[in-house]
Amino acid sequence: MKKILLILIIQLISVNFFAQKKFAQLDQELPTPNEYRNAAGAPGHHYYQQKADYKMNITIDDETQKLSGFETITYTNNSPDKLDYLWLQLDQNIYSVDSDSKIIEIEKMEDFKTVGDIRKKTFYYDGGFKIEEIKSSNGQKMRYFINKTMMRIDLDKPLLPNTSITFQIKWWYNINDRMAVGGRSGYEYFEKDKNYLYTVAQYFPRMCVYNDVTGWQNKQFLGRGEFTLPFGDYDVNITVPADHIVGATGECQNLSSVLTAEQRKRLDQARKSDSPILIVTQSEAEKAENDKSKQTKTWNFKATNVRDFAFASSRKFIWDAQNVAVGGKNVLCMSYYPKEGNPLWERYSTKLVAHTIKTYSKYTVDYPYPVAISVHSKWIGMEYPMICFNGGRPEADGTYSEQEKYGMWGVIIHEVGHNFFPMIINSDERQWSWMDEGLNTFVQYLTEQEWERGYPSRRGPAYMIADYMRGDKKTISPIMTNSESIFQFGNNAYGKPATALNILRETIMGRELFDFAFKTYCERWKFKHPTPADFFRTMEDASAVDLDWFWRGWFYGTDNVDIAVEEVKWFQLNTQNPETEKAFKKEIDDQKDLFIGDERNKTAIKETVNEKDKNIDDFYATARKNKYVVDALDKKEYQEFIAKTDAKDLEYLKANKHFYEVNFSNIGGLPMPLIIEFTFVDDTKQVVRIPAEIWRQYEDKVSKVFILDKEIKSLRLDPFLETADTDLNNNSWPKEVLPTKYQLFKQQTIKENPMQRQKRLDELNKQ
Amino acid sequence: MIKRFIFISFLVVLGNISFAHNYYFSFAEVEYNDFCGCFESSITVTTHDFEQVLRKNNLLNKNLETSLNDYNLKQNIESLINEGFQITIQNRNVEFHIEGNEIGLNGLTTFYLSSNPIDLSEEILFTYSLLMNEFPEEQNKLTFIFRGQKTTLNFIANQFTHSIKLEK
Repeated sequence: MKKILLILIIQLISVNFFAQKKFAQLDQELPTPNEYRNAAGAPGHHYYQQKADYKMNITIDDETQKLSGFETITYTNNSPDKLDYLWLQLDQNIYSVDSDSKIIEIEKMEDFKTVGDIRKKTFYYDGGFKIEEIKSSNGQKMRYFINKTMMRIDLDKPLLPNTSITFQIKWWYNINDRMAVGGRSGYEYFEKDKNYLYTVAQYFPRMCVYNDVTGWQNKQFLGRGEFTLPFGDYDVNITVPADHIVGATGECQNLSSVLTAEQRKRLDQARKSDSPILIVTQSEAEKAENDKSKQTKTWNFKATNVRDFAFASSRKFIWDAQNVAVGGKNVLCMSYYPKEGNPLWERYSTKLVAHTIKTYSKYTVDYPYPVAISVHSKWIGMEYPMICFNGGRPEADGTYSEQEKYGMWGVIIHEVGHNFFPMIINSDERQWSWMDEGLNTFVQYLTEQEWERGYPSRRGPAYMIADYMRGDKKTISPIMTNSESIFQFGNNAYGKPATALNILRETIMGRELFDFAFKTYCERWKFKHPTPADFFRTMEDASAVDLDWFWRGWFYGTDNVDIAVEEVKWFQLNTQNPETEKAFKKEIDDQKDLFIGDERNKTAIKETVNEKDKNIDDFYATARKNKYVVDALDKKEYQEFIAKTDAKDLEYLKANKHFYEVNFSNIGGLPMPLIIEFTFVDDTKQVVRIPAEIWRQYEDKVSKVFILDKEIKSLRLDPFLETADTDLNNNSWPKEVLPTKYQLFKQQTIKENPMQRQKRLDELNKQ
Repeated sequence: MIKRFIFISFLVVLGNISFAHNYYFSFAEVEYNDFCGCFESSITVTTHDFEQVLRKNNLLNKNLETSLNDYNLKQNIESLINEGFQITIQNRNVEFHIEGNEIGLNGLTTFYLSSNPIDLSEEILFTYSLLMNEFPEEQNKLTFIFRGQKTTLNFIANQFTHSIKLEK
């Protein structure tokens, strides 16, 4: 009910005397800025990074599925420190018999309930690097020590600042059967035509990162936290069966030795085409599948300023390509896939690569590399510089579900997108999965939405993370958690950060400020090694938006968003005009509930004594009857009030404004803006947005007065589902209980599937 | 210590999918409907994971989307859900029946379930271990709605039961 506001000066919430926590600055949590990383979030004036250049000869034995390699590494120490030893990563050792990854796996007897389970658990595979030799450039053997997935090479003399060292490693390993052992890379065997498809990565001893943040980043590879790698130049010879087609990081340098003249002609055509051109056709691939050459060929690839090198090789490959122009440069977008990937792959893969490169370049940095490749690899999605391995396989009969199609689209966009995070903006994946997966998933969402209007993205919109964020916090990790220790990896490292960035863009900062700050971060840290603090600081530095509370809540905490509308009070100004106020008083009195006895007495008592006898009513009784009548004295006093009141104040009084005091409580604990949609009695609507800083002093409860031109019928908090509020049932006044998913399902009147509906439509059209 | 025999079944071997995987979750929303005296629920799973478990158990050849009209498959899914999603009241398990399903293009599948009528008691035991045998990292979350009040419970491999006391 409307209340009369007697005091003209409206006081908002009073000052909080308690220490605030959720809006405390992040100073304690962030590292102290220094000459390597400054307080603005940019590389400091003494920023440095190491360089690792590789020359490699790699051979795949298709008979034994064995990979042999010989590499010459030139490592340049750009740090101010002298290095007594070097650390290299031996990722294949995750498949060693004594691998920690197997030992630390939690097991229970339910894991052994089928023969398949037991076979899988006891499966023996002689994996892991077999290091044969490590020697210096002058042929001297070097001392080394292998600690599981890390290898230390001891130097005779320390490697001084601004000097390089060159050394050589010879090794081999058994390539893993990806279908039996799993893994980000390996081989897939096609029983039907007895051929192999190799997706090869983490196949060579790789230098660890040494920098100002971690020293040597030599945290063991346990399987989830991915890779942290320095940039460098690669020159790689890959020897494979002569009928294999090889796609790799970088550009092939000897096309005339490995492709036919016809294939080279098609490739040249593709370089000028804005739609995919086949370089190797399905029939050519099928012929190779049957012929199975016993000869070998060596492909040579070079790549500059990349953090890794991967490749794919198979005689089953169909290969297509098209050009996309980015930042005034041409990028050759390519796909390699077996016939089992069709019809999905020939239709979509390369177009998706081109779209991804173009869209990511808009939001981050111009794609700097000459090629971008998508390779079809059953089940997985895994990324490397310029090349990625992606799932999305139709049924054996060539049909596919719509979900499979969207799954394939999503994985290609995501994995090609990884070229930007972390291949170019080279964060530490071993420590912080969210810095590549989260940022990439965010731009993936933007890219999907530009591919198809209303694209059913899995992650991005705020409301989609609500289920994950609600409930007991014991099994929810903050985003700022080491990759190996995260509960719910997908929601934590992909979904929540992507949602958080979406909320920053749509709700907290706005698109213009966000896009500028985000691009600034990408430009500052391209071809460098950013940390979380560099990201947090740059986003604030480039936008003048204090986001410490946001990082604290969304990245360092596990609170969820649940803001409730607790109470709404309605006021109007006392105009002092007796005509208005007495009429209003009458209206209020008339609306008061009547005691049932009084109601019945209206008719049951025909006439009371004072109604019959006019002498009964005295002055008071008469005054009570006339209390709504405006008399001369009322009018005179009002005229006197007008005379002494400022004209502008009188305007306020006559404006007939409606004052609503709304009380909000923050049940979930995560502060967020208040977005309120008012629906007026005439069914028009108005949206008011209040920044999250309204919670800066009182963290649990706040109130706000809204001065509106019209009376409201209802109000609703978060009407556009943009804050990830986990309970929408307490967001409305009057209270509105939303149906459960089950109830929504039962309300559906259409009980037919889309094909049944189409059938009915076809029949109708025939009539 | 008493030796126990392992009863194993001879089911199809499925590859160990140990690549970086980012799904492993399901969400249930359960409400007790006072009018029918029954539980009504939705369970949302990642289609990819669910399909993998069905294939492992030899219940699915193609994909879920094109196979769900199969009566036998539906029955098997109902059994699978009733095994991994249980409500127990005074030592009696509530049996759920699938009323429908929805396969989303965003990779999520929702099953809609209802139970036979059952009287509530002061304590309800929830067991929600769906897909945890296959995926040790699976985390399930259940929101129980009773007379407008919501309670959310988390389930992980080493804690897949929770009980709540009702204020009737």
